[in-house]
Amino acid sequence: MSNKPLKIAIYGKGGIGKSTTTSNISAALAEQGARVIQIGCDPKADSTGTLRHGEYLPTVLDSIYDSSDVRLEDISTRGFGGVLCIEAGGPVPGVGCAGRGISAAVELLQELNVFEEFAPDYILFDVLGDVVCGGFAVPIREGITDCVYVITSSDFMAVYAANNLFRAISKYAPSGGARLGGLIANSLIAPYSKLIVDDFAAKTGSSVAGYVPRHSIVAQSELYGKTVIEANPRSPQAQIYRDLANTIAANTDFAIPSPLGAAALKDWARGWGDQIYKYENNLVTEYEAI
Amino acid sequence: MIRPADREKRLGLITAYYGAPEALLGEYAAGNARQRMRTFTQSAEDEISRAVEELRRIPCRGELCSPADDSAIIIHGPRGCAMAGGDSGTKLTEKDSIMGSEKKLRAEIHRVYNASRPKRIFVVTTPVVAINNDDVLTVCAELTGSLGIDILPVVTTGFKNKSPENGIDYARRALGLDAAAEIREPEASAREGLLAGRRVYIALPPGRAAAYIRAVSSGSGGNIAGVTLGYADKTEATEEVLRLLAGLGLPVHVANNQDYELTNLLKSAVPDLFVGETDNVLTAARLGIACVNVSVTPPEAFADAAETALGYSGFARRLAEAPGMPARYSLRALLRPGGWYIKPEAKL
Ligand SMILES: Nc1ncnc2c1ncn2[C@@H]1O[C@H](COP(=O)(O)OP(=O)(O)OP(=O)(O)O)[C@@H](O)[C@H]1O
Ligand SMILES: [Mg+2]
Repeated sequence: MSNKPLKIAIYGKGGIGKSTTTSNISAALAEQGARVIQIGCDPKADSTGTLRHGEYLPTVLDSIYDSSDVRLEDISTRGFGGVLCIEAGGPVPGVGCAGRGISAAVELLQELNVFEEFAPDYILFDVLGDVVCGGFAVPIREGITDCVYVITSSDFMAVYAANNLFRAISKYAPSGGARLGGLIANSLIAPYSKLIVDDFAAKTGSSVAGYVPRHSIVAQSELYGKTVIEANPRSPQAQIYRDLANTIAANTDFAIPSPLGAAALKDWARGWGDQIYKYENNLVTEYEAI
Repeated sequence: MIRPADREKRLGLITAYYGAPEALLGEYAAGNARQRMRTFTQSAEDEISRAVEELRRIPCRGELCSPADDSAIIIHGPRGCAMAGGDSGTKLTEKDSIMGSEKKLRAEIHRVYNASRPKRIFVVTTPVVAINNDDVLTVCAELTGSLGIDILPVVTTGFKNKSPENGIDYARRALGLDAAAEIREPEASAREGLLAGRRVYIALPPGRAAAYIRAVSSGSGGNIAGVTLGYADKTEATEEVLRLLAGLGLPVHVANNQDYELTNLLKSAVPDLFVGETDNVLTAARLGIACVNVSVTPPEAFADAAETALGYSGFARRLAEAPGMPARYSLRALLRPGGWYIKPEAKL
């Protein structure tokens, strides 16, 4: 590995599987001997839970404001495979401003020289939900990360959120912001789900880095407080996460996506609605549908 | 609703206009007075400082508050916001903006309460608190209960509207007064013949402007040289001023402390006497014009104050000519008419 770490941001609609997928990618990379930092950028502070068996970890923001001299040891812990786990943290629900919290936490991590001192091969930022305000765009701005992966399912609202994230990426990329590494299709169940995500990627000048099916083994591992990589290392699902991690590690082809306009996105969705209707009513086979 | 409706919406308030009073009267009669655009605006007082000023005024019935008044004003915002004129501030930091500012507010209310035992405490909010939607009402309600004094929130934002006058309504609402009630300005004193042959420029909000125009013209025989209204709205006071100016064939200028515009208008009007509030009085005094500052002169003392100012008009002139008094604008800038920067609203 070269000494310059690959800095990756993971975004996607709320609840789409960002933390689960990010943790499994981190675990897969660490398993191969890489030095990995995973930073949860979410006031819930639950990004790295499955890497550290759900044990208590003070957040960056709690620590900044509890003591004047914060050390890396105070705000991090080593999880599975030695992954350095950090949670930015933030206000309790309903008060303050979580977005400004993200930018303050990232600033502190830079001041602490975490990225140089730990000498990681990979840094993964798991960022809350949609980009709702400027603060949540901090990880993709001004060179903090190199590339963004956007997680989506084939559900329209997830694709809609991905399209909005593409807008944020295309806004910041020209001035040194992160570029798109690709989409990660998660929780695929229906046979046509893959086709929908592929088609959205094609329409927006992006690509799909991996397809992760919905599987009960994910939930089961989570209940043990572990990633799939740790809890069920021999399962096909673990292999899927390893393949995804390898694709991301090898990928150097970053792009500026072309998000769809509101009308185009609506037409696109309607088109798929018609296809799925025909398919569900046995009017066509899966492959004729596209 | 803790927040009274904006005057812009409720009263069709505008803060920029220069031109025929008839046209503006027509717009108000038709119910569609349009805010003009200012292509060059000087920063002026905002609703937060105006609310604080009003809080100081109301409890003491019109006079600026004395320390004997048993209320304290906390400005709930970052350090610099205490410039709005409160007695203390919560000095919010970045931490508070991220994690919420409730704790600081509670602590400051307790501190002020213990230090000076006021009969009531006003909590005046600022943009940071408004943007984060920090909960101020619960804190005020709880501490009202536990401390046994009124803790009254004044929910100013500093950015919801253009006119500082809204601050008055916020202050009145906090005190449980009717925010929408029209406040009748007291008459200013007059003396027959006192201002005969004198040209008087008046720069005041509509209610006060109407009262002082009456005292100057019909009361004391003076001539109105020009009027700058701090704002215009659909109240009777605005209508009265506009009709009067129409009768005199004078244009009306609507501006909230726009020093540059006022300077240009005063340069061409050349009045003998200027009647206005502190900020505008400073502008007129720089030009060597004798002034009555109605912010410090009570209305019943107006006639005496006008007589004194005119009697010592050399003082104002010498002040303006003093070597230490720098020119505010280049001569070229002063060749522009006063309404130069006020344009009909351009839709972008
Ligand atoms: N491929 C999958 N198969 C089955 N369950 C999954 C899969 N991916 C995620 N999940 C489950 O979905 C739930 C939400 O996942 P996760 O917490 O990772 O989402 P998130 O995008 O991080 O959410 P948030 O926006 O709240 O941070 C979890 O309970 C997780 O176990
Ligand atoms: Mg998450």
